[in-house]
Amino acid sequence: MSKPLVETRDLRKLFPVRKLFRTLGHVHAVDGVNLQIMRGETLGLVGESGCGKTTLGRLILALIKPTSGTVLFDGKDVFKLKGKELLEFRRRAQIVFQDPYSSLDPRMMVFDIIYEPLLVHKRHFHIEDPEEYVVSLLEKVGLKREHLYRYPHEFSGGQRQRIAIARALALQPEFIVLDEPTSALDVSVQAQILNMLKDLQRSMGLTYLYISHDIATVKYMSDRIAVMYLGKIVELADSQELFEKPLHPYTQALLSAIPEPDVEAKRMKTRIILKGEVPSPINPPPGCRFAPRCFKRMDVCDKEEPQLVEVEKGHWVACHLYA
Amino acid sequence: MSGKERDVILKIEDLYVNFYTYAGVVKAIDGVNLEVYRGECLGLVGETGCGKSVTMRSVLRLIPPPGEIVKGKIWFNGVNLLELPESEMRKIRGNKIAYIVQEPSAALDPLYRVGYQVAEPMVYHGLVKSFKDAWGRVIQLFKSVMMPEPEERAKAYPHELSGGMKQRVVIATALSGETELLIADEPTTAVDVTIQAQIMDLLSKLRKERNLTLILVTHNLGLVAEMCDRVAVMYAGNIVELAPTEELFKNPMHPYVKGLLAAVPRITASKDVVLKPIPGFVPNLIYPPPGCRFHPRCDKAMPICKREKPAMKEVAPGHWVACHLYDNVKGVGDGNE
Ligand SMILES: Nc1ncnc2c1ncn2[C@@H]1O[C@H](COP(=O)(O)OP(=O)(O)OP(=O)(O)O)[C@@H](O)[C@H]1O
Ligand SMILES: Nc1ncnc2c1ncn2[C@@H]1O[C@H](COP(=O)(O)OP(=O)(O)OP(=O)(O)O)[C@@H](O)[C@H]1O
Ligand code: SF4
Ligand code: SF4
Ligand SMILES: [Mg+2]
Ligand SMILES: [Mg+2]
Repeated sequence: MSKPLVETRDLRKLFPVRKLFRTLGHVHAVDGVNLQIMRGETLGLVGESGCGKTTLGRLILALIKPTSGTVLFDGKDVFKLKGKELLEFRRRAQIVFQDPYSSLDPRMMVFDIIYEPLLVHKRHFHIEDPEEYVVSLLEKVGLKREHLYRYPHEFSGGQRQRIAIARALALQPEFIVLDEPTSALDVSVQAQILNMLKDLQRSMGLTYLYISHDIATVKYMSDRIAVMYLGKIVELADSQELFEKPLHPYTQALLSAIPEPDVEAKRMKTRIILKGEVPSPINPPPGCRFAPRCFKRMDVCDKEEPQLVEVEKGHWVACHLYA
Repeated sequence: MSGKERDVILKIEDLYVNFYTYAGVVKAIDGVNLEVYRGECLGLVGETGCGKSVTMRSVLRLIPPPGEIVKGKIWFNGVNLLELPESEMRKIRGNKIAYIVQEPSAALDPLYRVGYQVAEPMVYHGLVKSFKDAWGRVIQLFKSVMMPEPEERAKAYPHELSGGMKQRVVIATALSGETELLIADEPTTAVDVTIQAQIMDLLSKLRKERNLTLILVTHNLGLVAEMCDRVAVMYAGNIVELAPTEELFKNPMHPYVKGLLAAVPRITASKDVVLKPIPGFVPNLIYPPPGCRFHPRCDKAMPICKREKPAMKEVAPGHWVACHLYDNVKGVGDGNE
């Protein structure tokens, strides 16, 4: 039995909503999340805009402090790490952001962008030939020596994302949070990056948290998938299982809403059109957060909050239908 | 043309659009030809920067400087829009032809109540006498786009509405005139999938009810498969393939289109299907590759591809493709024209 590399325990992050000097309430961005990410796997995290995916990713990397709860990385509480240990954690856990245009410093050349983390972590002492080291990273992400001394603006979106990935790999991390790494890219280039990420995972033994609202890419990348709705994990299952047997009404609606680039699929599909808008995460109502849009809602749903329970081996769902 | 003649509402003929920038002349649209039939839903797909929006904005003559339509004709109901005086064009824009943009916030003025903004074009185009008369129609339109609590929402300011609701307001505005042709340019890129499903459902319903012609501009092949009767695929300023939807997805012919279909992840795919990316990236349109603009990325490229631009050819009824691989294939119209 492998131990989780990352574990969150009842993790919570509330952001105060202020108007002038009054606090009107709180955005429950992440609201009691318990997740485990196993060594070597890709855990996919899907959910609609604003449901808390990025906040969860940032909490796991200890880039922000939680309101309550904790994150264990390799068994250690990341919010208690200090000095050397913290630096070592920062080396082992990296992030790649969505926007390859703003995540790279436009005044820095590719060599410096990729080499900088080594200087910060004082790892450059171990490296004999910096240029060769950076070239080896560039080659890992499908770029070449000739790209070393160019600036970000000379590259296409897909190439910039490759540079960002090379930078994340520079410190030989074990875990990478991929926060919508291809959502700014076109389909033809997206496939290049996704395949590359899969290859790197295999060759370097990486563990990924893959965040996206594009469910088709999440399916392509992930071993297991967690579905998030308004700060909560509502379903968690093996990737294949989730698509074959979605249990939570929200997951069912979400999967049915995805248009497939296929004329056969269209005829087979019965679409669930949800009523209403995505509700605000500010001061969510008691009971199930999906209740106002749910097509299977019952009386109990307005009163009691459903807990995430394992209804079949490895398949977790938070919904009163399965209580 | 083959088959029975169909009623053409819009015909784009040999359209060229350039942008004159400091870096050089961007040859954004490079000889686009397209017919749109009355009552159909046509999908216009392609990746970022391929020219979808510029083509559609040309129809409305809304190309901002430093852009310029350098050549071409655009026939709407038999009238060449590019030759109309601006005063006539204004009667068509936002009335007979409506345009829905990607970002609903950009289309709405933050300072005015949304109901007022829906009413304004009706007053402008003389469809109602006053704002007071318009209000009843605004509420009706809000009901037809299934806005929850229409009376209340009409009095709201844009920032008080969600992204999905704002897009409903924009659609209501688009329907406020004597709309015949609706151009929806990425109407759901800014909203979530469950909301996208609502809006697409709404657009299909409205199209049937009002017998609208709809051009759906998108990079989402899934939406096209679901919504459209025919699909045109653009690449670097050209339409490279045009076919009935089912035909295009079952029997794509252009190497780029085949490549695109092999590169999209699908939720129905089994776990071991590997995506096949298209190598390279989209060309710079200041120095576009000569001949076929796809040739640097094409695994089927031949010497002729670097020299000559392939023309659109009808290789099966209604199925057009611009690629030299089909030069020796008998075209539909060959021999009797
Ligand atoms: N620093 C902050 N201050 C206040 N509210 C915040 C902050 N960061 C995030 N939020 C709020 O927390 C909620 C979750 O945001 P988050 O960015 O995690 O969502 P997301 O799932 O990543 O969305 P997207 O798909 O749009 O990236 C949102 O309602 C957001 O407005
Ligand atoms: N204001 C401008 N100045 C210079 N070039 C422009 C301008 N507007 C558009 N272009 C060029 O015209 C080409 C076509 O742009 P267009 O907006 O039509 O693309 P698109 O297919 O709609 O892309 P997207 O999917 O990103 O909306 C682009 O390559 C772009 O470089
Ligand atoms: S708990 Fe009730 S409201 Fe929530 S998803 Fe399940 S059935 Fe629907
Ligand atoms: S014309 Fe030549 S380069 Fe262009 S798509 Fe066809 S085979 Fe490829
Ligand atoms: Mg995010
Ligand atoms: Mg566009």
